[in-house]
Amino acid sequence: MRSSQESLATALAPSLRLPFCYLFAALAAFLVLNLLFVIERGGFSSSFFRQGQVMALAHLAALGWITMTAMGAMFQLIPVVLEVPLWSERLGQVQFWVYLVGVLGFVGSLWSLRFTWAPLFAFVLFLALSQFLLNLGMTLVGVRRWDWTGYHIVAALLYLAATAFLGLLLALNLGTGFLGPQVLGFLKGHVYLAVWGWVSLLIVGVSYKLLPMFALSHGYSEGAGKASFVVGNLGVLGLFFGFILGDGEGIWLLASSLLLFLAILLYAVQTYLILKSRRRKLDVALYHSGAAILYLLAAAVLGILSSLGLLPTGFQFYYTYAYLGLMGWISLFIVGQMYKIVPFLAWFHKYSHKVGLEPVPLMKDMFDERLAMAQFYLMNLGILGTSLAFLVNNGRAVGVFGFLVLLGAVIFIYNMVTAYRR
Amino acid sequence: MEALKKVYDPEVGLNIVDLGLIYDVQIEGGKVGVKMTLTTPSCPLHESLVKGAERTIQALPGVAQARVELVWEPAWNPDMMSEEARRHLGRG
Repeated sequence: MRSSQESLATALAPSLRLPFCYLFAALAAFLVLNLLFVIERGGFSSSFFRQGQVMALAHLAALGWITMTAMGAMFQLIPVVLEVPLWSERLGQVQFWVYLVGVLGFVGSLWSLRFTWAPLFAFVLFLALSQFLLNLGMTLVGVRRWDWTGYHIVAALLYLAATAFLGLLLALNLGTGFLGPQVLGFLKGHVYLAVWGWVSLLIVGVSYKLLPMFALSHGYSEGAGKASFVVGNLGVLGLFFGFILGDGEGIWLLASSLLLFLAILLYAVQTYLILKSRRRKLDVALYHSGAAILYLLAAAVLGILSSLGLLPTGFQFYYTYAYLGLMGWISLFIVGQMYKIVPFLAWFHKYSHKVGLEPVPLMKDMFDERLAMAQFYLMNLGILGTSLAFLVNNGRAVGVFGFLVLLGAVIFIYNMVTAYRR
Repeated sequence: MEALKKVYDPEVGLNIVDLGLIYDVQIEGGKVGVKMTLTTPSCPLHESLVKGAERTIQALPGVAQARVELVWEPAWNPDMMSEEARRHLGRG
């Protein structure tokens, strides 16, 4: 028998303070994001795509909610999943405050249309992201056993580095215009690297670890997931270089879009195989994950139809595509996994040492499961409705369905706070 | 074994015996040695379950020393769960 007392080990994980400060800042950002989304509903009918408020909301979602969550979760999960201690917990704590200042300042300068401040806060963000990349990079140097989740994480971090650099260039361009007519290509490259390279690849890689663990899945083939990784990277890189080096049109863009579409289909097949071989009923987290993957497929179909020229060009389509990606796919997946991460962290802190001595609550007892399912349906109704409202360019309906998502966000945050205080 | 049924995996909601995590129990006088596994090496409940099992055995009358060793071979699979566990999870 091969034995390992030291394996895996929560002993490798950092103190709770580190992930919790990131996760609760992310929850606050999620609440503000959905609130501002409802307030700003009328602005989405504008034909001026680069307006400050829309850019502010996009960056609040990407930096304040999604990347903040990813950082907190990675500080906690990478030591556990890849069996390696975090390089510097102290650097993670310092980085939190630098990053927070960067997010607040950058989003605030965009929202208030004070674009002259944006480059300064973009630099602060770049500094914080560099700290994060240094910390994670040095941590990953110590990994002894690499697996497909590890490869996904490395690729995602490389895309984050490129996204941050492009973001800094774009922010500097706000004041100087030095990128000239190429700015649109840089903007598209920045967006695709962030959404499909950094965030999606990270979620995909982590899901190969978490979904089977939570669903008790065994004995499934991993071929589709491995193929998805290779094809997906080719697609993201193809799109990126297509946008940066050319005008992003023609056969190059189409081929890259098809590769990305194929990668998403392969990922959907892989998650289907994982969930098909599960030995548990679906729980609230797995419902969220499953629905998120359906939204991913919907976004992918819209994207490929657009690349094939089968959809009319227009801001309604871009907003629908972006909303399905950011809220349907990424946010819903994160919300689902937060139902695992936050209760676990709180449970571990309060009850782990009592196991075997006295009855301890189960993880699902850490929050109100019925409320969580109500939130799941509310958010789905809101996301579906908002997506359709964007498609028909109805600002009032965007506000109504956006309000349902906001209600869902409030319930979700209530459940997270409940789990923390349980 | 019955005593170890008090130790629950808080994520799955099943005790570690019915989950099939206990591979072997050796008793020599007042010394008890247990070999157990987890559903996956990435399970973050590693410390909670191992220490919980140790505390449970240690609390039994007549036990002077309890030692729980975590092993990964043979790797756990769902067929190791008891009938009751499969019924509980609903997808045996």
